[in-house]
Amino acid sequence: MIDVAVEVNGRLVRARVEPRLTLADFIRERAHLRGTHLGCEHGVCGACTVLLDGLAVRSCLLFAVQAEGARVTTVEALAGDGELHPLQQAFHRHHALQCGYCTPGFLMALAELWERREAVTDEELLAAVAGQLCRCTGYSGIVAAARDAFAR
Amino acid sequence: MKPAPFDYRRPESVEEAVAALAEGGDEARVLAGGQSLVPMLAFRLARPALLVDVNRLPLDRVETLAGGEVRIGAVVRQRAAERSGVAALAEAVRWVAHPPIRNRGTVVGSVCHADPAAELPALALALDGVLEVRSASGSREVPVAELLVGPLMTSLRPGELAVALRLRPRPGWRWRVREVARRRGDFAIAGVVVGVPPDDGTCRMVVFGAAGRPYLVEGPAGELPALAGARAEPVTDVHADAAYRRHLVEVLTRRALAA
Repeated sequence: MIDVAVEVNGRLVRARVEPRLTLADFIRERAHLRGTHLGCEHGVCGACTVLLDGLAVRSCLLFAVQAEGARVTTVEALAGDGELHPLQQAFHRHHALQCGYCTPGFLMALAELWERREAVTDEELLAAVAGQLCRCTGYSGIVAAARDAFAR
Repeated sequence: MKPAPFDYRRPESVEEAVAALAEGGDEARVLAGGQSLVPMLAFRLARPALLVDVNRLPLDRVETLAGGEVRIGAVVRQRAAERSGVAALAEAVRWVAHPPIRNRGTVVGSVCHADPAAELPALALALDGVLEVRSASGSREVPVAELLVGPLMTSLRPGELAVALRLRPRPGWRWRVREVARRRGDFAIAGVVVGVPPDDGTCRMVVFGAAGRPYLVEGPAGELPALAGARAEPVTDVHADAAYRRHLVEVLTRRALAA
């Protein structure tokens, strides 16, 4: 067992964990944030995507011990006080979700680009979501929402 | 939590890392980007007793050496390599998986994973890659041509750590990567890395996804597609049959030459 301390959405979360505990399970079971979803648990579906020090990563392909000292941002951090993030508002407007299971992953994959949104190209937007699987919407709404939010 | 239990070390120096690997022997694995290893752990296709996490080692630089060689440290992320200003690297990395995978996955890790359908081992072979290897008993250099021995098999020995990869992009050469995959970012059904010299003389190319390991082909541009196709030893699987893979090799070579 190893002691880890990870900053999750601005809050330091400490836990004693087995090395094999994934960051995804750490977020859900130790930080008690259930917005990060687990689909395939081997890096294919993208549902568990979070930001690690500002970069989008698959949290099922990292162990919590590797995130020692890092800054993790999950979907819970997107919405401000009672107001959805512009990305979330765009998803709402464009019906970019049905069951919603994949949505946190899509949002976080796009969130990586948000800080430099003025400079993001359409090609980058499409690449950012290309690795995320959605089994209900058919992607048109998601792409439309992304383009709308980034004004592309 | 799907992997079997393992011990975990996170060394801060190469010396510590190779000492840990020596201690672990056959049962130790290096954890770099983890984008291939962790899925194998999740499926329990790999059950190492010890993971040596090299992510905090000071091996995160891309350097251009005298003579034009490019040296890529063991924990340089694919995303960083894509933006390193080395054109041949950017050309190949953009085909690798997706941005969140490239944010973690390393160039050196991909080469050492030796997937026969992966872009980076093929690029490393095309660019005269040499792997710098350390172990508790010393250091050695392994040409990529001798490293890749078969599907997911390399000539690295237990206890060895790849610390860097040197590539020779050859001044003035134009490198193009083309592949066909079922979806963007998937492993290629077949693909090619094609280099054309500034004098349009003998070209140098590597085919991936069409044999148990990537293979090198050299020749004039006009003969290259046929030469590349003839050397293929493709398999038939659910994604494509052997004849289609061989056909792809020739078509992709022509496309790369025309690009």
